[in-house]
Amino acid sequence: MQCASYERDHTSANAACTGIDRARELLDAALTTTREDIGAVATQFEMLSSEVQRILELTSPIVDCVREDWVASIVPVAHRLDVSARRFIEERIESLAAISNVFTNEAKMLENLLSLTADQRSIAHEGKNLGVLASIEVAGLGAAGRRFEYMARELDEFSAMISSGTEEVRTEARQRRTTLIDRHRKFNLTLQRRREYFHSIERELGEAIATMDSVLAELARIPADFQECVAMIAANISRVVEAVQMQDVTRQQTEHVRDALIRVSGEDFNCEPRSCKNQERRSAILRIQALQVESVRHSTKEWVAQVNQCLESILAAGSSDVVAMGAKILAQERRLSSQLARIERLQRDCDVDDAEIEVCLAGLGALMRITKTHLERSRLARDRMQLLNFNSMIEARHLGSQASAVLEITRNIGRISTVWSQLTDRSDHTLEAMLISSARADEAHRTRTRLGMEALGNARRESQAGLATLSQAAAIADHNGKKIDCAIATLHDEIKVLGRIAERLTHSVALLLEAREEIDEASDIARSSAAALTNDELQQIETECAQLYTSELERRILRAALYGEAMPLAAAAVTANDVELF
Amino acid sequence: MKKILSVDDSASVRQMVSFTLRNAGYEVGEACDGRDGLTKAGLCKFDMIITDLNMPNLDGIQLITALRSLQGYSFIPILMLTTESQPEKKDAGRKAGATGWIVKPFNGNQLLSVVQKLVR
Repeated sequence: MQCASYERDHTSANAACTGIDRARELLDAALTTTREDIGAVATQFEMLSSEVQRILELTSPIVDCVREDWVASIVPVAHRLDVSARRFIEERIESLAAISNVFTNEAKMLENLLSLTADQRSIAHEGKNLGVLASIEVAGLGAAGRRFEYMARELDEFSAMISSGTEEVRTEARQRRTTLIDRHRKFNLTLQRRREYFHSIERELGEAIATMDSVLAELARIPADFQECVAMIAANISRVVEAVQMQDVTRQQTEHVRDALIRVSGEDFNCEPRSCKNQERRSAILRIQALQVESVRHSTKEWVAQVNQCLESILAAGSSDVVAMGAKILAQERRLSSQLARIERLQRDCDVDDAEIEVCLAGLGALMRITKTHLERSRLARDRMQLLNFNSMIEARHLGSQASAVLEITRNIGRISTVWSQLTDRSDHTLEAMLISSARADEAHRTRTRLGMEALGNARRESQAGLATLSQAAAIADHNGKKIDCAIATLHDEIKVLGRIAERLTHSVALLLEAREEIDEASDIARSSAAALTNDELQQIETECAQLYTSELERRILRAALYGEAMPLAAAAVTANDVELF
Repeated sequence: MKKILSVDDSASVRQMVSFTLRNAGYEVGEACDGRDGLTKAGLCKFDMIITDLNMPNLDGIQLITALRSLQGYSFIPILMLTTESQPEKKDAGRKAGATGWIVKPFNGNQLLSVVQKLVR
């Protein structure tokens, strides 16, 4: 029995020694890996941090533009521009439609005029015929007819006078009609295009303003978001600084565990089965080391997590609205600038339109002048005909029965005079109405155009001044934005490198877990035939182990292992940034 | 610009001390142990020393004792930055001439606050 038990204990002791040696190797490997990797983390982290700082410095002036309302100041100005532009467009369309009506009315007037002058031409022809008849009758009457010679002359002169005037008006009216038809057609096409053009300006300006409103509402949050972003990054960087330092703490812890394992493995495990105290003592020491390794493993996992969290927050900052803000400001500036250019072009186009309208209306004015002259002559002719009618009637009565033909001519003179008088009145009314309508439309167009152009011009100048501030902000955003883009690309590369290093560190965690399991097993083997240690014995172990410890964390873990106290896992939980000034 | 010497056998700790202080506008020198720290302090005048306790080739206490007898370093603030927090260790540091004691891991803002207070 004793031999079998001895054999079993010997085998177990060898297994324990092997386990302890294995644990030492694993701890050495973990130490080497961690030292190299944490050095790389620290170096890479410094570069990363410097890049982040650069991005924040580049972003800060853009944020200031938003904070100081360089960007928001354009909003009320742009809204006023929108209102002015819409009002201008509305009035412009109305006045162009009114001009189109003028052309339509003018066309009707021209038709009336041509009809009127056709009638006048008939009368002139009738007058001429009557003049010939009068000449024949006068010749037939002989001496008695001498008093009527003037009648024939008057009729001839009347016919000649109104014929030439009528033809002049008809020629001008026909020319004008041809020109008017062409111009009116072109004007209507222009009016249609202008309507579509104006509506597109209204629509696009409206969209630009609406987009600007929503973008600027987003941008207004930026300063506060930026502050949060800066604070979050600073906090995460601070945690990484602590995490990197923790490696020094865990390094010392690991070295102490390794040294303790060397001491334990140097002892003779092959003691007599009856000497259980040594076994239990070794078991206790190994249990302490296992808990120390567990603490190291926990710390390593924590600071790897801190590094990853920091990287995530930096990545989030890199893709946040804060960084993308520059591009948005630039987009708004370009959009508004483009709208202003369109409005400027609109004003130039309207100037061109106005010049053409002026030409059209001037043409109408020329016709009206000729018609007015003809009307004056017509009135003169009317008056002379009335006088001729009156005189010829008196003279015809004097002639008595000899004047029957002359009387007939006289009656015709009377009829022509009446018709001529009516025609003259008609053309008078028509011309007057056209003049009034044309003058009103012209005046309304001029007045509206002038006032509308002024208002739009003022709004455009105000917007350009406002845009200057936005352009400054956009220039800063563009200039810094390009650098931010480069910095972010560099940042991503550095984050990838740091991420790979952090992944390698997790390998150390696996090594530590394996080491802990080996130590646990060795501790269990040692405990398998053990008796409980007394308090004095525990205190002796505590004193022996604590000699080499350099941190409160290690001492607390020691007491947790020996006396069952609460097990602290993190150094920060133990030391809580202890600072003392002497 | 104020110059600070960081003495620690851990490269990563020195790096983090330098990172924290450089970002705040300090010039930082580094030494890898007590002996290296003493040599560098002799070659260049520093406005403050931050040193670890447990180091090979002259530990923190020995370094402070040596620095206090070096010309120009009698009143320079010397901070101990260490994992140790036992009262007897702190007492030893104070007696050797340490100005203050910070337990690792330090918080960046806290370190800066202490440095700004001590370095005028």
